Amino acid sequence: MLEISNLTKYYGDAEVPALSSFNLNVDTGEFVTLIGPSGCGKTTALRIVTGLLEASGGEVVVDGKPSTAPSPDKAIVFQMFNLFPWRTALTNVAYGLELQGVGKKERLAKARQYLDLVGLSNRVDHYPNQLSGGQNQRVGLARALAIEPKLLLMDEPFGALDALTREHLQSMVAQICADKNLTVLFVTHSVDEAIYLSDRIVVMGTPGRVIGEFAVDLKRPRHTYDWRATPEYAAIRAEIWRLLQAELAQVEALTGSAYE
Amino acid sequence: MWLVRIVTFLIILGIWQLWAQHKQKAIAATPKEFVQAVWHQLVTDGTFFGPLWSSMEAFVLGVGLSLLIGIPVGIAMGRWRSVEHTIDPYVSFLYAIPHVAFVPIMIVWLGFRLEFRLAYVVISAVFPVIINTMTGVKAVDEQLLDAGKSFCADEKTLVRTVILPSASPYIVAGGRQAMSAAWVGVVVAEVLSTQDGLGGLINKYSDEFLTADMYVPIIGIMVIAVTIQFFAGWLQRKLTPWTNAAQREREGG
Amino acid sequence: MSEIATGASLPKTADGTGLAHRLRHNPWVLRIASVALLLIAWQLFGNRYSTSFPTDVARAFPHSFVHDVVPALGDTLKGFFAGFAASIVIGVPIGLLMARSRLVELALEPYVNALYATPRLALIPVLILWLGIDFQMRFAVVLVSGVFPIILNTYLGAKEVDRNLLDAGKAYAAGELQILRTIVIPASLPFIFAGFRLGLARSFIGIIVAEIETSVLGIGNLINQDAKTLRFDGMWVAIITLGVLSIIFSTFLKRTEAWTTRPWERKGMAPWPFRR
Repeated sequence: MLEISNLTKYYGDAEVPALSSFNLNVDTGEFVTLIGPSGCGKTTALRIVTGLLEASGGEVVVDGKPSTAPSPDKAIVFQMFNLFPWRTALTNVAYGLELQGVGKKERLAKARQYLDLVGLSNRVDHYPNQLSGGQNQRVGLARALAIEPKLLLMDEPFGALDALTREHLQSMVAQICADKNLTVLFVTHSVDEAIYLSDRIVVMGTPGRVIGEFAVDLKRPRHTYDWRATPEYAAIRAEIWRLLQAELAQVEALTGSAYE
Repeated sequence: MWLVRIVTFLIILGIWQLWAQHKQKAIAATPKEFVQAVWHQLVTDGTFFGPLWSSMEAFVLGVGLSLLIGIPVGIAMGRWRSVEHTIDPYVSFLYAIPHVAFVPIMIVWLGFRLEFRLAYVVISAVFPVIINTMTGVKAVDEQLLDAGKSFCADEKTLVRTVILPSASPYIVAGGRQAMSAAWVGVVVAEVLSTQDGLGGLINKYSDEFLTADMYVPIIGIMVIAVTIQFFAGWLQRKLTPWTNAAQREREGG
Repeated sequence: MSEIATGASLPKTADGTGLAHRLRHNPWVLRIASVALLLIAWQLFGNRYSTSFPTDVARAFPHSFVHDVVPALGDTLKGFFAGFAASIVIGVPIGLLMARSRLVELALEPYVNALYATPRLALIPVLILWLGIDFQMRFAVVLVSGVFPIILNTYLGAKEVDRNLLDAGKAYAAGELQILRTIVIPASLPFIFAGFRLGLARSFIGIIVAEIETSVLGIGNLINQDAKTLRFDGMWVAIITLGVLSIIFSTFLKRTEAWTTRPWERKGMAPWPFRR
């Protein structure tokens, strides 16, 4: 579904690239997470795939077609929700459909359907500032799902939420993605979150390259058992941490601080 | 709570009565005379309403014109830096200076008719609109633009669905300020030049030393000013219900 | 770097950073060019009888400024500063009182609001009637114009003081005056200063209006007389001076507000008078 080849990105006149020869393939129905320390290029990669950023080199192919700009087969969920404050939850969710020219009755009905899916059917006429952070992000999720994209992109979507809400939304996302067999590219810096949600984890390091890849063999659905108690979890987690710590140490040695 | 208000009101009334009885007729009028004058102007002679209508005409037309001119200019200045730089010497200068300074020359150019009053109202009211609109357009959150773009919004759609709604609280705030400023402008233009409108009425009674009658348009102007404030607040709530300012209004802020 | 908020762009010249392109987008070039254009148009299309010419104005400037504008300005500013000082001295305490005493608040609030919203101009004829056309009237005009914004803003600001801060004071057994001095006033300084700025603007306008209305002294009167006697070059000198003065006033206020009200947001040391 998604093929990224040799993706490179230089910001401005920087000498060091944010992404260098980044390669990634995501199969249909697969849930892949990009994880790494701040500045490793994971968000850059996501934004290029979404079409909000231009690459300096390399190619992105979505569903067999080259992708250089936003399109109806991709949708993104932002970390800061980015809902329009002047629209209600309902009309926010309907935004993508509106832009595609879908008629009013039809798109509002669909919006209602997806708000129902995320558990907000009794909040459809609320404004974002009347909703909690978790509720806002659910609206953001519904908005992305409403256009029924082939590829779902999520940029640290739970980063702005408290721990309890995060857990709740993680299991919601896991279930929805499984039910709809969505293809997902997910960005986070939480190892636990990555293990819980993904089929495959790609670890990135500065400057913008892959330093490790792990398949997550934990049985699905993962919310029905204590996945943190399994040996597989411990093993993967340890591996990933080892990689990340090595990476951090390297960066620290070079630049004097872990995060630039 | 109401008790305090009523008591204060009565105290003020009492002071007024005592003070007015002391002074000459030409300078002060008692509350009783004031009430008689009100009755006269509003009910028996109805001399209040012609000038009221005239003032309101100048006000409504003035506000309309200010919005019609100010919003597009503000949008243009917000979207294109070069437009902003070209126009801003005038906006800064004209916004800072007391507009009254232009009254004499405007009378020379435009005479004493409605055109003069209208022009003065527009000068008073258009700058808050321009400045607020421009600020609003400039302040659009980059992230919201990203959200729009991620759903494939083109330039025109971005303006329509993101920039304008995002800027609308600012535009509405500008409109509120414009309405208050416009009313002041109407009164200034009238008192300083003509026999038109409520301001002109003040002049007329003042010239004839009819003190009690003079108070009537003054209180009228005050009442209208407060009404405009409430109306503007209501309008703000209606047009931008999602803003904190509007919600604070709702809670009686 | 895109100069446009939305990403739309003006047509680019073939060489995107050529001289023409840079000139077209340089802020000062545009401003000066635009004003210059206006002056040229004025020169070409003006006439003796209603607008005068930039050249005439320039020629009249030295004489007009020294002999007419400065003395008139002196008269205006005398009344203005006296009245404005009085507005502060009267306004701030009343505002604080309204914020701290529910009784006073209830009693005064509708009147303060109504008088704040009223165009002061409506009150000027009354003031003229009561106080004549001398210094007292002008002083009163400035006072009436300036005191209500100050009262209102002080009151609103003092009301908004964080409950928690007040609790801290009470926990240390602070008396009412101490609370006022050490908590309420410092916390509401931004609002008080906003009130000063509004009051200043309104008082300034008020006195100019009073001068135009009464035709006795001051710069407002000067402008009015010059216009009436068709001496437009003198009039423009006065107007330009007034405008420049207004800009200086408001800039000064904005700067001092930043220095005095938020020492914890300042970078660097405060200028001498404001250091503790």
